[in-house]
Amino acid sequence: MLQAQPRNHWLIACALLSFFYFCNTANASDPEFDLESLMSTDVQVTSAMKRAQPISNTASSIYVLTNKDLLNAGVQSIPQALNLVPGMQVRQINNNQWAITARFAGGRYSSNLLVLIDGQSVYNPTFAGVYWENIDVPIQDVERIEVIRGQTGTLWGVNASNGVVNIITKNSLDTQEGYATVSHGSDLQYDLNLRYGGTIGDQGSYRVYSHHLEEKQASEGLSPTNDTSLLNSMGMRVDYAFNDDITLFSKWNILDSAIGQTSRRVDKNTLRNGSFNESVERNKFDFLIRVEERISKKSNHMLQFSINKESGYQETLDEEFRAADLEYQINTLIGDHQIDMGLYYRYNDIELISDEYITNFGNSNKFENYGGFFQAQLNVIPDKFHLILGNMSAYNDYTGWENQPSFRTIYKISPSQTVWFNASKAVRVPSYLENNIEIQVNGSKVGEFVNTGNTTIDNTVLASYLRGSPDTEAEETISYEAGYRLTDDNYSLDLSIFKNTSNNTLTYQPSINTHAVNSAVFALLSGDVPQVLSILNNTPIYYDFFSLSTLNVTGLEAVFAFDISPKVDTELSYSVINLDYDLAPGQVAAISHDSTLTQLMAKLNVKLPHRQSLNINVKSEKGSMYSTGNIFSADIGWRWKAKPNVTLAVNAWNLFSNEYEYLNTRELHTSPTKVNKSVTASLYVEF
Amino acid sequence: MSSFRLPVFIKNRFSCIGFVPKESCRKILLLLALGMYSIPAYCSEFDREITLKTGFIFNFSRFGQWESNFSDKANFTLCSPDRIFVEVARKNLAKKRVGKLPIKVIETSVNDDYEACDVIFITKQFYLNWKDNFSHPVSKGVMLIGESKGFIQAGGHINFFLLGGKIRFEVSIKNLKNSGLQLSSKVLRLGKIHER
Repeated sequence: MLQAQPRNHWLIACALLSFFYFCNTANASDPEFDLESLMSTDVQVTSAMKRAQPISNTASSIYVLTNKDLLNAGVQSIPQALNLVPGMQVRQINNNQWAITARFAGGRYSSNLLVLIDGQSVYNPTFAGVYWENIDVPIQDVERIEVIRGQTGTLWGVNASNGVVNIITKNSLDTQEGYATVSHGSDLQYDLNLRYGGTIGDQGSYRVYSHHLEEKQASEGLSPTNDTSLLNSMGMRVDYAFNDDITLFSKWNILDSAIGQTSRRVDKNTLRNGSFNESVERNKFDFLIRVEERISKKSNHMLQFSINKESGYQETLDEEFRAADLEYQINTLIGDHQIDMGLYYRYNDIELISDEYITNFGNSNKFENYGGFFQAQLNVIPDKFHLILGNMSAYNDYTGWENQPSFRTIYKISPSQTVWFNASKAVRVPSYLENNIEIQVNGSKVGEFVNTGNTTIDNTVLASYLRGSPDTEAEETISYEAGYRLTDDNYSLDLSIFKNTSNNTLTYQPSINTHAVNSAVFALLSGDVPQVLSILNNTPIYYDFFSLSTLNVTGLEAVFAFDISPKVDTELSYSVINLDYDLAPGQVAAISHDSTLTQLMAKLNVKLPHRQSLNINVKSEKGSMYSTGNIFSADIGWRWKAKPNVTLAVNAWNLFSNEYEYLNTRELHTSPTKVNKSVTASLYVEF
Repeated sequence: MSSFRLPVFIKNRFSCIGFVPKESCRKILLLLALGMYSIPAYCSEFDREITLKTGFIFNFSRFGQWESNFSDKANFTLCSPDRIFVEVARKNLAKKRVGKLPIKVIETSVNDDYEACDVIFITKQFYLNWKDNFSHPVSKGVMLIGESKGFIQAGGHINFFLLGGKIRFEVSIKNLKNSGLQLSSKVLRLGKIHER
């Protein structure tokens, strides 16, 4: 087996970069007036959507992936795209499940990263996180993905305490041609995308699209592998401009998937965890309609209504949720100052059916969230010094009203240099699962705690339950972040340091009925084994959720991008993050542990003769955050525009490595597999 | 000297914001209140739209093809009757070139014959006036760009419109051809083709 030798690989990467540096040719590009950038720029600074401003004017760590970046890298899914973002932690659990987050430890059920598709939040309210395998957005239709690392609660609400992933698709007017892609690979049976666009009269346009995917299972895992994927989806987007000032945007998407899952869950007969190969079928429907109006040259507002409906069926659990969102925002300029305000309301309805391991579904499966935000960007010294103040007040049925204020400053040292600082408070509200339900989990043998000398007693398994609690408090995080940004025609440097202190971090504490234990000890001393077994069989261990720890997260991120020539550009990044828990006595951190993770990334894009291009992405991660060894991966992609409307691409993924990227096996239904080396070949045709 | 006092309703509403101490909160609000009214009305928001359109026009110019090929010209000339546009374009295109020619931006009257122009941008404000005078033929080899509904039907080549807060454009290949002009596929693929 080819073993990863990180140091050598970095030497190779450096040598490659040096080679391309010396291939430098005269710069003839005009990035300032690049036509595609102009197409994607908002006419007004005050955008009805909370889109990011120009990066140079943003007091947060933001990274933007453009459509070109995604196509150059040959990515075929949103998780693969996020793997290109410096500082993001993207770990592949198996061939169809992912753990993704920023500035924390990711997990299958992470809930601190908000994901939006065209302004529609797509989280599952059961655990307030995202099933990444069901985020299905055709990559060719993505205009850009904005990733904000760090707290953004003031604008984006609760559960955005680690960041926001904002996926923005192209206006349907920009996708008028037919488009088809077909891919096949060593881990991929087929991946087929079809799209067709057209006009609606003189003022409207639409596109319809479908996606069909079948992926193979990994070759090796902790349990026998079963991580296949079968996905079919279709959708439509409509854009209509009543005039220059009023536009309507609507879209819907339906998805039907069946993913193979090696489920690690409790067997009710043995009370211990077992591995079960099964299939999870999911059906999903998303709908969104938004009307935007430009009230004047300085103001606009928008009203948006959206629906998510999702159901999942597996052998022992049926889950379904329905959510409806209504949002209103207004953005205006008063003098030189930008004011943003908004209101939102969300209704959630969750239904879980399990005759196996969920033993209590809590008091209510219907809950509401609503709130409003206000933000003022004061240009104290125009184009030089900005002060941004804001607050979001949000209500939820579990913890009541929560405030998320922020204070940000931006100072432009010169046209090319900016320093910024922000201090903010963000809140993560307990999910339905943390607040309500009781789940039977892996039982513990008596012998794991004490050796009685009696094999029957020592092998007796105590039933164990994980219990949510309505007393779980909202996790409150105070964050301080500072950054420096340098931008020039050919290069840019982005530095940020941060310190987040979270109170009420989720923990759990095991407990057992001490009276029953004393009775068992007394019976044991009396030699009454049947009585001991009878007591133990009726004495479960409870793992109760609490919010009784403090978590300090500190880190540093640096990204250096350099356009060596019009034909060669590169990007180097380094980030380090440290998690430090301060746990109350008897408490165990529910997610992750004290750890440090260091990430190094290098990207290289080269335009080759005859309309070919080469893309190399190298990534190294060191640390114990995911209980794995160090990770070193390299992806290489080659594209050839054979004809104006035909492109061929070959991508090699995860070279130099064949290891686990994620080994947190405490999570329900999670069974990691090794991430294989793989190759895909793709054909893209416009018609 | 009297001290600044916040109205009671503001004090009650904002003094409890998270980690911000009460005193700091008051100072921030004072700064906010002073800042709001201390700076003259903002006009660059208007410039932003014009700046973006200037960028588009620059791209239409550099990806356009003129029959004359500018063999006898010292400048590439962009004309408009709109003084504000002319000022913004002059600022933004000062160091730009179309081919090897430096760009000259000039203010013209709607009634001019545009002989010296390579590109004319007719803003909304001047559209009706221009349309009334358009009965006389515009010289061949002049690219007509507008931002008004009906501009293409009135004989224009490229027309801007807004969609979802972004600038989009429609192109009449037929009108361009009639004037001896062509546009590169790099531009055409991003625009709405008027006659298909």
